Amino acid sequence: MQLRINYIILVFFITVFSCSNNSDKDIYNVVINSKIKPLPPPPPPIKGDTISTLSKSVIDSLNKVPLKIAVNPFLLDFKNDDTKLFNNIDDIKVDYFISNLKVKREDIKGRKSLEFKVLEEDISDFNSKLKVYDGVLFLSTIKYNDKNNKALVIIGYTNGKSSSSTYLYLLKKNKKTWKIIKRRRLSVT
Amino acid sequence: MFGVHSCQKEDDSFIKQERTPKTSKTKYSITKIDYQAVQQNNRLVNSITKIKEQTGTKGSSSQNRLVHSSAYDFYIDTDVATYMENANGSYHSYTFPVIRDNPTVALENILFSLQADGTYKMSLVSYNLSESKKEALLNGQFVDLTNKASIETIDSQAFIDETLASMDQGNCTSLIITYCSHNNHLEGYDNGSPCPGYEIMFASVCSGGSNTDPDNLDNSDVPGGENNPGGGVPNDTNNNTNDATSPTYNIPYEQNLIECLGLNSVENANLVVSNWINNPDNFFRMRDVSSYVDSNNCSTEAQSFAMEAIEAILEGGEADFPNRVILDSTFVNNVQLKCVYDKLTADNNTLFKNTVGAFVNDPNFNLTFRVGEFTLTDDQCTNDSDPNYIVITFEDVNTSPVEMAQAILHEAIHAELARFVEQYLNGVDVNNRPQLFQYYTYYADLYGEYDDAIDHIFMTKNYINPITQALREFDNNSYPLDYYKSFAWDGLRKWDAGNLLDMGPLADEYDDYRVIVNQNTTICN
Repeated sequence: MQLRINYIILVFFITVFSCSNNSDKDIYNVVINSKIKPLPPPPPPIKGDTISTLSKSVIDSLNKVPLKIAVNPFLLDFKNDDTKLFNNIDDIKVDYFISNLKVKREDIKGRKSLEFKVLEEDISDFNSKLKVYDGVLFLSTIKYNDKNNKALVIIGYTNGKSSSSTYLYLLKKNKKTWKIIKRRRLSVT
Repeated sequence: MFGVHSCQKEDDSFIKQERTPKTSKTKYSITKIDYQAVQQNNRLVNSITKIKEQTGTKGSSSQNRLVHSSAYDFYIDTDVATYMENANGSYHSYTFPVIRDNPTVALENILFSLQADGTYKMSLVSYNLSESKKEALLNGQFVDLTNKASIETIDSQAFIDETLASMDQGNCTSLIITYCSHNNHLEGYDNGSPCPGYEIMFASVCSGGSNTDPDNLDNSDVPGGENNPGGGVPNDTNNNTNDATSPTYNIPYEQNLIECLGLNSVENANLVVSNWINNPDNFFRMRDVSSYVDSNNCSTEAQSFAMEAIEAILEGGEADFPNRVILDSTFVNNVQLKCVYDKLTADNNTLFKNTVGAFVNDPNFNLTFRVGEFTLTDDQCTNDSDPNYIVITFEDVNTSPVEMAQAILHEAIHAELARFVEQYLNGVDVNNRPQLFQYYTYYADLYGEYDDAIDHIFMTKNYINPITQALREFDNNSYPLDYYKSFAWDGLRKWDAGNLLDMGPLADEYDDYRVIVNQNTTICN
């Protein structure tokens, strides 16, 4: 009987702690909201030395534009040189083997206007998917430092033929909020 | 000022130089020519081949610039030659460097001198110089060749009878040396024209014992000039009876490259690279690398690119030195893609020059083209995680040549913008693109930092017409510009912030044009 109780407790703890890490969800939320934007309006003509900026109200309205995003089911892997791109990553450890880890749907979060659909299989035909979705999202695993207050993550986004990019983000946790410290483009199409 | 005229016996060679109060110019045109130019003269090539055939070959081939003669145990270096022609074109000669495994004199040349019957007489010209004198000659400085030159006729089957006869008659060869008294241009020439300090020296080297004939000097047709020391030429170069030659040497490319890369030092020794450099089969590519580092004063960046280029070549790739671009073996092995790249390079249109060509003059940035797989797209992508070493990867190589050209240009624009932004972030004053800075500032609050979206929106505004124009040029202007617009919009359709793509009723027509171009283009197809 005692063994059974112990087993149930063990299963409970495994279940609870193997569930999605809140930090993962928060970090994905930050980088997804940073990267995925609808097409903005063009800049106005230059007048003298004054260069205007996109107004907050326009940015707010852009963030409300609904976008339907397909999420590739497999997580991206880090490459050997990725950790060398930033000089303040502390002791973040990165493994370089091909993980084949799958995206957890519950970790994928973004602003309300973004709708996500995790694909069943690794994407093979971009053209057909991009007829249905506004873009295809790729995410990597998230790598933390020992203090769990810094993290590295890669995000990739494809929204058309010859139109994609990947970025490496370095984030830092201030109190309970993850903020982007730095990002670096890894590739562009 | 020197006027030179001398004769010699084979075993008692000498040159006599005489001072003359006058300046002089030659009635021969003297041109340095390369391997390709030599190959265009079939009769000359046959004569060179005759030496090879009569004497056997060792380590030489039609593709090899070194022609070996086992009988004389020397190589003729056909990579470079001095071409001399008299005023009315009735006489000309070619002089090539001779290379020996164990040279006994500093400089040897083989002279192919046109005869009245249209054949070539071959002679071996030797210059017995010290290393310092040879170095001076290589640097285009004046060298006193008195008693330093000798000539020996090579008894090839075609000329053996005439040669013996001419030796008995004491046939002489005009020896002409040009140099620059200011040491500022090799051989006294600057881009094919005599440099300000151009000087010339004439001599006659004879086989068969005739004496120096000062009367054979002609200083009557001489330009003025305080730096021109003058000399003499044979009396009648229009109806030349002498053979004419000029000291000819090749740049020690191998040695220069090894020294530049520091491969001669123990700590930098790299046997694989050294062997590649010294392998005669690699001469032309090695020469390209050596010339590249030399033209860049062997800078650290040039050394780095040269090593990268050699490693790419060792793995089956290529280096495009004029554009400072590495072509990975995967790229080179794709015949169609390589053909498209070569055509764009040959077109040399403004867009290609301003994108791929932008890497030419910036040794801090290298560009590589390769074929491979990429997770985020099935087209192609530009990896600029290290903007100093940008790699463009092509995944989809089953497209039409015009689409390939578009892909190369599209990615090259990304690469060039990445180079530009990196320069700006490192404090280089590149403030010549106000519109790009406007876009950067305008979208800063939306994207946070510089984003590829800015690249793409900027491209829709500034690059559609240049891409269209370049693609039309690539297709040899086969159709009007509208036929190439659909290609130019690839990768940019989702970024048309300015609504420039509002083609309306023409949109379908442009797509139809695209089909026509793809079906009918003959470029790289």
